[in-house]
Amino acid sequence: MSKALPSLKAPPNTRLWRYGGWSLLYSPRALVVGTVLAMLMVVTAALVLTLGKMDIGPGHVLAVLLGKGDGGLHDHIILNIRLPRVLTALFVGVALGISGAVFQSVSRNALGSPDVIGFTTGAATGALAQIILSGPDPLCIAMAAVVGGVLTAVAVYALARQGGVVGSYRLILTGIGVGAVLTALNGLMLVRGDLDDAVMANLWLAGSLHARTWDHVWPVMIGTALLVPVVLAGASALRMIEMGDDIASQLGIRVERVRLTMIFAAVVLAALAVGAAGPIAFVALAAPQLAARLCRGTGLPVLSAGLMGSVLLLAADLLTQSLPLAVSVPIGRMTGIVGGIYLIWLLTRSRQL
Amino acid sequence: MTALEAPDVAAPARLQAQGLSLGYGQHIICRDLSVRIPDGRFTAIVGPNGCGKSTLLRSLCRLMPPLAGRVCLDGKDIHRLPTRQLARQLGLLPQSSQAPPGITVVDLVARGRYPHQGLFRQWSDEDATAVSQAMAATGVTELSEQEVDQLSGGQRQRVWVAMVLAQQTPLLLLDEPTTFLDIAHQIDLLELFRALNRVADHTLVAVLHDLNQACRYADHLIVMANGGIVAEGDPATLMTVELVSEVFALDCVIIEDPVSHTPLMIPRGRSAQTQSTGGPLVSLEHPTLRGRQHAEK
Repeated sequence: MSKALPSLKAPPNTRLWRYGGWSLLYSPRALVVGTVLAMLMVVTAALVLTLGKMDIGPGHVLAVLLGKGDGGLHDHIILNIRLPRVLTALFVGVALGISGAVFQSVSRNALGSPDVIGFTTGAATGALAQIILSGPDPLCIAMAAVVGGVLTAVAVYALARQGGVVGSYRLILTGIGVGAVLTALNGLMLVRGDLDDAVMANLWLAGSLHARTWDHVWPVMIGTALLVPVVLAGASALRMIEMGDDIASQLGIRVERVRLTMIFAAVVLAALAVGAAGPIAFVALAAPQLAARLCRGTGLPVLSAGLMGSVLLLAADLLTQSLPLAVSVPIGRMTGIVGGIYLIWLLTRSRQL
Repeated sequence: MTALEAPDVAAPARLQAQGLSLGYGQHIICRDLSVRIPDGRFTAIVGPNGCGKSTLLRSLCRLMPPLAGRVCLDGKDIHRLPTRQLARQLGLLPQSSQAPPGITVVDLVARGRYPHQGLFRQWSDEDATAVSQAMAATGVTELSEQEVDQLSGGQRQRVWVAMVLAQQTPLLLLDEPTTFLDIAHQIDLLELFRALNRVADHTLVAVLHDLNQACRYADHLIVMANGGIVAEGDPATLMTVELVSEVFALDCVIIEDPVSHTPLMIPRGRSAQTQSTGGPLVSLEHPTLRGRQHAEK
């Protein structure tokens, strides 16, 4: 190799920012994608705030948000009806997007999202049990969903574990199996439960942003705020684990500990999302894939996946509310239709699944 | 087994294992095994399939916790060292790794810098130098912008070696690094390892399948069988017909490699074995080989 060494100030497609002994690598492309997604998120959120039976203009909405409302009916509608709905959509989207990014990395598979590997179903089982056994209190549903999700994750993890190692295919297949059992259990609960509860539970199972209150917003908002830093801190180690457990652990990573922490964080995120809005399909599957394609990096697109998730969910909400349909489509069904088409597209053109 | 008391025992060895028992659950592979990895040497671990070569190598770099005994680096138990600190001293090229889809060569090699980096120290001049040097040493500089998925098997293995080199560890463990490569790439890679050992002064330990390659490129041989070490030392004196027969249950002749002047093991094979009571061996009838036999005498 007589060729001169290329100057490697920073790896290709990244920029280096230095201050004293500190250095930070970032990808300009990911920065642009993140900024655009954040702006889109704010714009769609603002648009959704202006939608509804009562016509409230953007200027009025802004005034109310800034606390300059007249204290009348419009204030109430925006602050207690529309804002909780929008914030639920926003944080559920972020939680699902990040959860999906983590699971797809852990399972090294684009299909390894929490809805495919049964964790969302497990969270739904917890929430359904809560609705049918003691009633639809949002905080209790959120807690029951987290308990259901975590228990499912423990079961899947224990079943997939072999000789102290969790293989990615085993994780996905075991998850699908456990998910199938839980889907049947969910159906059974609907049939055995009281009719009113069953109707309520069935509505909830469709995934909905209707009638969200601040009690729906708080758990998913606080949970996301607490767990995103955890995921961000583990992201680079998780990225290394994608190369294989041996190579990651020889690089100085405590593979099993990182993986468990990240799975736990992702399960709780997905469960909080389910608790707040019901099982919303495909956002966790599609958001990280779309974000990764836009960023074109090989890193774990945590933030952009989260932003993408919230943009997808808010856009779906915008669509369901503004479509001239006689019935309002539950958001979970809408993401299901759009996400299903996306999944088929992904399966037909991807060379590696 | 005189070789065990070879003078090497006095040689400095940063990496040592004492009284190791290794296995999975009830299945014990190695029992009460002690080994020293001599500094600055290219050590090859050889032995029949299932003798515990890879298991020993994995335990030496903490991938496999011992059931009993301990592995020490500079006298400290490696299971008690901080993981990143160990990863700056001891590198491993595992048998199989997966390149993330779409990753370029330089990005993959740069990942070898992980143990030298931190959340707020993500890239330094040393990182840049180490990555460039590792790519140059393995001859992949020209491929740096290419995607790893698109490379041939031999090139890909070089990229993985470059990644572990970028880690800049004084000790480097290689788990069957030449498996699945064609003979030309095997030789390329072994020459590279020898250069790393002699020029860059890395202490190397490789699990190798081919006895003759091990004798040719390594300067310290550890021969294993049934989970224990049968012999160790300089390949030139260690390799005997008796040892091969004891370890591999294989009848052979050992001649001098006409190129490298290291021991060259020629198996007689099962069919030759049945005829071996009689006249001269068929394989030795070959003119060049016969020439060497005469030259030796």
